[in-house]
Amino acid sequence: MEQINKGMPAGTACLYQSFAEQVVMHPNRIAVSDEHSSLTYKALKQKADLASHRLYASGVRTGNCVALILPRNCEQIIHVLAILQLGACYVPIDPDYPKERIDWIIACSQPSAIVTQRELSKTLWGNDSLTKAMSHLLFVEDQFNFVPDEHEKPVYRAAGAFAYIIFTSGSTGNPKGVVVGHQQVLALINAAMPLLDATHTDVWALFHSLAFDFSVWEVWGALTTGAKLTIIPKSVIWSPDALVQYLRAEKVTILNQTPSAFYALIDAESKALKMSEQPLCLRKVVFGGEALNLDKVKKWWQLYPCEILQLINMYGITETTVHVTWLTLSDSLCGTENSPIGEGLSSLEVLLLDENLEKVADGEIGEIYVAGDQVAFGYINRPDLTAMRFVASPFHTGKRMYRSGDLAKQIDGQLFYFGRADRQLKVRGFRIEPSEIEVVLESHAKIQRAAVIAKPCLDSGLSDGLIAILIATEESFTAQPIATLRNYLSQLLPVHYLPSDFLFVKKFPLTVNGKLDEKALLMQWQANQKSTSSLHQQRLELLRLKQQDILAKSTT
Amino acid sequence: MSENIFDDESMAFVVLINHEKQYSLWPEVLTIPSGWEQVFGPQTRDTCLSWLNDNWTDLRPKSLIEMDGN
Repeated sequence: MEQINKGMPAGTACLYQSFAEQVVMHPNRIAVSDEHSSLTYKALKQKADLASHRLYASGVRTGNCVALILPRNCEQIIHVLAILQLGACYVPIDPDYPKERIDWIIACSQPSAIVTQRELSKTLWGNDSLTKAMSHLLFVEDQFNFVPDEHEKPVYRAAGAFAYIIFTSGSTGNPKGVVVGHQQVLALINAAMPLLDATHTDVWALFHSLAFDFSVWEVWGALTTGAKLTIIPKSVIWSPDALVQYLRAEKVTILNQTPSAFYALIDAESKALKMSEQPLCLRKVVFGGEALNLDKVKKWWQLYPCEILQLINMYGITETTVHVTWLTLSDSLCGTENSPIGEGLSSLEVLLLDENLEKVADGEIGEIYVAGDQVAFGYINRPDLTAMRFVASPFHTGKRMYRSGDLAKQIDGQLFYFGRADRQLKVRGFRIEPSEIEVVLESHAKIQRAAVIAKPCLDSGLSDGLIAILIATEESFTAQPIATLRNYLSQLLPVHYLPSDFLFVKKFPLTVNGKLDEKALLMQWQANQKSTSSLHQQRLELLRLKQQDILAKSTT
Repeated sequence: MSENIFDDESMAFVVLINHEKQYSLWPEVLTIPSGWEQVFGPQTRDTCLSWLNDNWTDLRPKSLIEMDGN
């Protein structure tokens, strides 16, 4: 341990060191568990030390990147620690990503090693991966064969600048790798943990993929407080019924959710309680990753009043290290327009600026800019993109601020989210904010959820009207609701806000990160168009045959 | 609101640098913030971006490069 941070100036603590402090305080408490095993803090450190020895022996050094392509299990956490311990930086890749995306991330981050499993690598790259072309592959199952060479001790340089690179999808083009450092993550943890009142008795669930930065908060929230991190198996993640059972069995106290995932959980938990299951041990649920619709959360408060189980909304961006704002939710906030996101964390400053980078007045909509200790380094191998998004701050001498592309307004110190600046649609010359229509649709008693997307025009790239994709509260409503809905909407919205097309679906497609997948929604609508039009064709054909038949009969 | 000033290709831009050797694209019409100096431009947005790709070779701030010692 004494080697760690040797010679580092004060104030340059690193993530591994924060973990190591917990090992000293809670050696025998469980640090991490998956469906097959669990490790105490002491055992986790031993495994991570050995893994870092092996990474070092295969050439990984301070400042290098190491890609992690692993299924959901303890090995992920062991290797995150092992990589950071060497002062290297981890690049998490979800094994369920399309191969093109995986290859892109690897080409872009140039990792000096790829930690994975033999089976996964075969699926991805075939047997080629086992040849020398990919000699920097390290298979976790071979770890037990590794005998550390006592003469070649790893050099611990754990404060090395970069901690992880997480690739996010831009609205256009290839994913971009956001480079985040130890200091930024520690700034987040130091600012948010006291608010969360998290202790070593908590049980955090690792719900999200390591490739989604919500996981950074889950992993380090647990490992820097001496708490337990329980890795939810893949089969449980996407089944709300299985998830509520899992949360009970594992006695999870802190759960992090995208709103889309949580809405489904409310119904599952409501069912479970009706079957007289024990109440959950949950203390806090933290929302992030998407705008929250408070009206959808009301049902949860009938199950668990907010005095018992705190719901917290956190707005955040990968480029400013997971979370930016904090808001403890309560009944009294219901009915506020748009999504309330609260106040900025103490480690950063949220600025709402106009086109000329001047602060907007209270109550006016501005673009969110974030300055302070959580601002990431930038995008890997994209100096141009870094310099256009991480820009000089007129409010902090010599410092940068990140321009988010998100809109918000501030009233009495409280922030309200107003959607993406670039999600604004232009339909027939009108500028439209889809979330405004979604809120109105969801206020209808028979509509559980709504998503509004632009209807592509066949001849040009422009939008030609709006499509509302809906989930009904009752099956029966989907039969003939359109006229009713149109009527309802026309009383509440200007005419150019009215969707031209409506489609009912059973559930919304989610991205691998649990957010609403708008591309897949559009494809669903297109598929529906095709099948309705082919049904139409078939009917026409039948009619034509019948007419021929009648004609034939009449002529004979 | 949808057209951010940093994305407006009709404007002239400059490239700024701070004491940490971090760069920022900057619209020429706006006052240069304190703690930043102009190192390139005014030029078109595209020219500034290619200059950045050629000249900004290390994403690490200067203080971290010094700490890493390489």
